[in-house]
Amino acid sequence: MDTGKTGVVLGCAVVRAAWEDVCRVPALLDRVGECLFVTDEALRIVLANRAFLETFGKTELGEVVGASLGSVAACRIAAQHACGSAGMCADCGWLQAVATCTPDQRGDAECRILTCGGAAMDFQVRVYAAEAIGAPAPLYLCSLRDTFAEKRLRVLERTFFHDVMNLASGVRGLCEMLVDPDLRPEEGLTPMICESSQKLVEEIERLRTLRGAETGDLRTWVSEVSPSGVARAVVDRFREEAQSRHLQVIVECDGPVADLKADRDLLLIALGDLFRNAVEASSRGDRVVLRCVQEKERVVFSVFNPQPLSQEVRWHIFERSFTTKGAGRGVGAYRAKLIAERYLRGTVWFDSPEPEGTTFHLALPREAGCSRLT
Amino acid sequence: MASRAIRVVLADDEIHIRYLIRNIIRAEGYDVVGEANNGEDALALYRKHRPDLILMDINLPLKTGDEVLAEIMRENAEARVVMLTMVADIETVKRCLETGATDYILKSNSVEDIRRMLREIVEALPEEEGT
Amino acid sequence: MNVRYDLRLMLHEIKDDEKVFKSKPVLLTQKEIQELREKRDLRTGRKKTL
Repeated sequence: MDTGKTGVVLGCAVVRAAWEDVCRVPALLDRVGECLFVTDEALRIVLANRAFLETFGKTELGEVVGASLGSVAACRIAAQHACGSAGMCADCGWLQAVATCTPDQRGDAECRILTCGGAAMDFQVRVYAAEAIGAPAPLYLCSLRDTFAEKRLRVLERTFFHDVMNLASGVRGLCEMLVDPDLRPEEGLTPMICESSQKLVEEIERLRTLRGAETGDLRTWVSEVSPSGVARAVVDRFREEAQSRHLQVIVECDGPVADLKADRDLLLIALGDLFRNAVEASSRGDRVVLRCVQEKERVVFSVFNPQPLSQEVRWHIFERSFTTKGAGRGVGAYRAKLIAERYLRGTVWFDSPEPEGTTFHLALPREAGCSRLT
Repeated sequence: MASRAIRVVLADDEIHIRYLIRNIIRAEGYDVVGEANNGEDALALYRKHRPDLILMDINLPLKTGDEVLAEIMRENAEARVVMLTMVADIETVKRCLETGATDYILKSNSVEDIRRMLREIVEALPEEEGT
Repeated sequence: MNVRYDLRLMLHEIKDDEKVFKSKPVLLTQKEIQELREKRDLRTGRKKTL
C-alpha cells in the first residue's frame, strides 16, 4: 500500500468499496452506536464511522484518515512520541489488542488514554483482522466501547456496597445488642453506636462528593481556615488506620502559617485522600509526616511516607480507575487532584525519589475558593 | 462438644466490629484471648495462643486475611480459621475455602445468625485439648 | 488467504458481546457460601459442621 496520505485515501476508497461489496449497506457502520474504525496494517486509520468521529471531536472523515489512534485521541504520550513507540506504550490496551488478534480470533483489551487536556478516556477495544475483497493487505476492524462511565459506576458501586455495608452491618449489630436481653454488652455500647453511625454517614458523603466533583455539581463554602488545624484534623480522622499499621505520624508546621480562605470540608477531603494513601502504602513502623508550610502567597501541604512509588504506579497514579488495591477501589489520588484543581484553585503533584520515599504536595493560594456560596 | 471454654482470637481493623464480635463471642461463653487490628498481629497472636478458633476479616492492613489464612494452614492444616468479612465475591470465597478456611461468614448476617453459625462450628470441634 | 469476512456478522458479534462486558463480579449470599462449603467438605472428607 502507498505510504503517502493520497495512497491511504485511495486505499480508503478501495476499502469502502470492499466493505460495501461485503455488506451492501453503505451507511451500516454509521448506524452502529459504538465507535468503529478500520486501519491498515501500519495501524493508520483508513475508515471510521460517525460515532468515532463524534467521540474525538471530528466532523469529517478526512480529519482522521492516515492518522494513528493515539494522535486522533490526543493521547499525551502520542503528543511526544510516535503512537506506539514510547516505553509506556507496551501497556497500551489498543496495541495489545492488535498484537493478540489473528484472522481466527479477535483481540480484546482495556485501553486507558490520558489526553493532553487532562481528561481520562476508558475503552474496551476489540480488534478483528480481516481481508476484504479488493483491499491489498490485511486490515483491522476495531471497535471502541466507552467504559468510562461504567468503570466509574463500578468503582462507586463496589466501594459503596462493600465499605458502606461493612459499616452499616456493624451499626445494625450494635443496635441488635441493645434489644437482645441475652446479650449483656460491655460498657461503651452507646458511644460505639454513635461513632460507627457517624463513620457510616461520612463514608456516604465521601462517595457523594466524588460524584459531585466529577460532574461539577459541588458547591463551595469559603471561610477562614487554619492550615495547622486542618492538618491535625486529617491526622485525627485516620488515627485508627495509622495505629493498625503501628505507624509513627508527625505533624509539622514550619514557622507561622497564616490562615487561608478556602472550603474547609473540601480541603479536608483532598488532604485526607493524600494522607490516607500515604498510610495505606506504608509498612509496619514507618514514619508518615504531614507538613504545612507558607510560601509567599500560597500554603503547601506535603505528605511523606518512606515507600517509593514503582514506575507503573507513577505513570498511572492520577488516572481515574487505576488502583493498586484491586478492581473497583482506590480513587484517592485522582479525587484529591480533581477537588484541589477544580474547586480550590490548587495544584497536586508528587516526588518519589528512590530510596527516600514518596511525598505528595497540595499547594493552595491563600485565597483558594470562591468568595461566596455558589 | 469441647468441655472447656473455647479460646478465640479475633482480627478486624474496625474498632466497633471488634467490639460487636467480642461481645457475641462472650455471650456464647467463649474466651477472647487476643485481638488484632492487622494481619501481621493476627498471625503473631495465632502463633502465641494457638486458639481453638480464629475469626478473621479479609481486608486487614499489613497482611490480608486470606494471606494470613494461607500461612496458618501451611503451619497447621488442622487450624480452625473462620473468615468473617463483607467480601462476598465468588473468587475470594472459593480461594479461602480451597485454602482451608473452616467457614466463611458474612458480616451482613444478623447477630442471631452469626451466633448460630459460630455455635455450629464450635459443636463440630474435636474434644481434644488445643489445636 | 482469500476469506470473505462477513461484516454483518462481526458487527452483530460486537453488539452481542456487550452483555459480557456489562457483567459484574458474582457476589454470593450466605446460603450460596454454605453450599460451596458443604460441597468442599464432602469432597475433602472434612467433618460436617451442619
